[in-house]
Amino acid sequence: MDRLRASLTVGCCSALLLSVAIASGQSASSGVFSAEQAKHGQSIFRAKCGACHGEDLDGGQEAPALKGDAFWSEWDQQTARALYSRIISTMPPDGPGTLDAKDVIDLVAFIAHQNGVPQGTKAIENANELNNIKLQRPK
Amino acid sequence: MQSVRSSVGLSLGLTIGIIAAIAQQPAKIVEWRTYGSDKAFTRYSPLDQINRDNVKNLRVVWTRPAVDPLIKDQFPDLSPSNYFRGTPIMLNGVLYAPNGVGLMEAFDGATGKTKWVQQPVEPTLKEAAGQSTRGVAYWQKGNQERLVSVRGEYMYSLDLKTGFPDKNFGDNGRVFLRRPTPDEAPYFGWPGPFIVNDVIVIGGNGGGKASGGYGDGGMDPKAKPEDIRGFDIYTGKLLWTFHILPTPEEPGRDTWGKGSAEYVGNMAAWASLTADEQLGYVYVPLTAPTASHYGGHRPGKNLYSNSIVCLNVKDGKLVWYYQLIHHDLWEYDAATPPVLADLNVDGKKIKAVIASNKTGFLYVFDRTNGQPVWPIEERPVPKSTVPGEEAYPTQPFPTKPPPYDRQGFSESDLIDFTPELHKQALEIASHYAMGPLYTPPMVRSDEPDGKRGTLVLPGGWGSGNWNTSAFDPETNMYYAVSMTQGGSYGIVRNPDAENPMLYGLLDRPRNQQGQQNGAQAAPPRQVSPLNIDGLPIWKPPYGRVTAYDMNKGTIVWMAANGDGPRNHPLLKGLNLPPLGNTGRPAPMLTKTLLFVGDSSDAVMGQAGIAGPAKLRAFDKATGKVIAELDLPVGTTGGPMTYMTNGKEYIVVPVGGKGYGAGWIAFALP
Repeated sequence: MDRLRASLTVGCCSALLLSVAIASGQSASSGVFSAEQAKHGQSIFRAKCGACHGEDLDGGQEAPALKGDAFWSEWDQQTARALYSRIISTMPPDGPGTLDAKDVIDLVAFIAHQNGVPQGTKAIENANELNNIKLQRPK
Repeated sequence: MQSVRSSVGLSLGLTIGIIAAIAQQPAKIVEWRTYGSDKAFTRYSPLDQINRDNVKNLRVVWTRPAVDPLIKDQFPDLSPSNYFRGTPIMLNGVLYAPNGVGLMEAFDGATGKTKWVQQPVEPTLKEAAGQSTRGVAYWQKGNQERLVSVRGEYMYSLDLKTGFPDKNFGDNGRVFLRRPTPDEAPYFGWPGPFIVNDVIVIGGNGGGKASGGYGDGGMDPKAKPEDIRGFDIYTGKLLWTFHILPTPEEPGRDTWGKGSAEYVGNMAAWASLTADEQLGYVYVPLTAPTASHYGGHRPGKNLYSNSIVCLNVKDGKLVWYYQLIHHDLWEYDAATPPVLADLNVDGKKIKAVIASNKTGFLYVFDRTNGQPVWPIEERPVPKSTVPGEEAYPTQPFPTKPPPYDRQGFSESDLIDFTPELHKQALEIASHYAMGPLYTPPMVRSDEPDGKRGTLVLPGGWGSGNWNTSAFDPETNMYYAVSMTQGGSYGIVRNPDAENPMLYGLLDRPRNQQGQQNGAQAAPPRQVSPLNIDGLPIWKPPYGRVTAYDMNKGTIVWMAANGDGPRNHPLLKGLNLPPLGNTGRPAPMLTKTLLFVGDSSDAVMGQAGIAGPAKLRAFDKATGKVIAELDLPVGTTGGPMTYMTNGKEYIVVPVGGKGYGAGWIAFALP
């Protein structure tokens, strides 16, 4: 499995400086999700997730933050498929099983992008493609 | 209350392909029949094999993942949440509990090994997906036995021996719980079902999703009332509905001014119900109405929000009620199980019910008629300054017992570990208004020297919640587990000119909390954080246990639960005592001990423990910590205990990052 590493800056807060290493069969320059995919994931997130996790992913009274340290402390070294699995089998809490696979892939793309994973041009069409994408906390 | 069986022989169980035969149970058995131990929700067991002399010797004897591996193999994408709520019940040596996705599992109490697992109605991931609930309900009459669970929008009746659905119940073993509202507001809830005699009583939520979210914040006043319903145990047929927002024909409708009763909602029973089966009464704790921080569109008391209601379980008729908060503006839900207690007050025996809510008060009533055991006074409270708001002029104040946590916010509540820290806390607090309990939210000022809101203690996360209560029926001691967590309410004008809710919170109070336990503070979007480098500006303990003598209505002891931020860099060299961990750990009582764990941060997102945690054993008479048992991550549900084969076990659900979720069982070597 090829490894690619991208260092990037997120936002203006130094605490949110992230570098992301992704193990993937896809090229470093193109990233692993399409911009359209992440954008669609954002709209799904706002409709289905934002009320609890916060529209900017900073968490809520009953739900964890999904970016920065809070995200990486759970998902570092996990595959994108693991994040997909968690979402599709438990979310939203008042309607698990109601999200379709395509929307969940796009949600993963949005959350990954919010945590520094670069966008590419090729959309991920199948959940199996997520098996080879590894999320890695910045060094 | 506890069922003690000796030398109970069990017939061999049937299987669904996952199963093992149920072993004989030759030795003494002490059960745990509801997830709160009993229908009084005492969380108490008379067991004393594990006691103050040997509790330090407890060892982990088995663990079990939140979802049985056989189900996980069937659905590889099944990945349960770390917020694993299920406290098992134990019957005849077998534990029954909702798993990490809400399917029922039965497993051996001595080994943790699987007996059966409920199958989803269709072999698809869509049907297997789910969330855990707090527990399952058990029913027995003669030789008939059932397990009743709630999963998603369905209530299931299952055979105790096999996990197969009871085909005579509802539609092939399940009942669709969606309420018959015009827009079919979906149902969901964590508490699970509660069975009283032959009636299944369902609280839970479901009024909000169809109208924009089930929370209490925001600016959308539209929701559906989350009514209480009774169902027949044999058929699943709906028997009755208690309208928690009175219909036009029922008394109390006039407590909702400006026609708000037409469109407001929520007010669900989030916590477990309790029941006196001899009286045939069920006790229901109700929560805040929609968008609780502004009520200009709903002038009046707003019945039955924030009330404890007593219903006759035969017909769902109201026996009595007591509203604990009028016209809630603080989200002070009655989210604690109303514990039943037979008290002896001034020589008089009283069948009591002990209610609580997020304020930290205990409200004690004669459960037969709703009369307060000690006077509850209606006292004047501050007026609102928000345009259009008519804060209720009085609120109920129990004269006894004293509250179990801080109430109201004044300078004396600000930390003073060092003069410099006190100065910094004062500076942060100076940007807010302070006042006693029930000081209303205020309009946030954007001026440089303006006030950003009202500081409140407790905040919207409460002090008390579903986890708070335990009661010892032998000593009549009540134990309140609480969190000291302030907040601020600075509300803003609703940009929607057509909305009857003129003001509201742009965000929930979630981002206005202080942080401790070393957690990094999330910068709030509307106000400055109420902490100094993660150290709350209000005084500790941040997580505590308060023990009451309920015959006298007095506090016997109070102890911090865990170290909290005592090792925070800003407190270096101060040699402070334990400051208490935040979160929502649930207690469990035995003959001599009180067990309270650390709460996992999976429970609340921004409170609780991340990583390794403790299950703490207190001497229940003194509050002294006798032992701290290691847990890989914090607790996510209540502990329970039982005896099988003559051996006492303690089982607790845990969950957290880096570990996942599951049950952990302790016993003596």
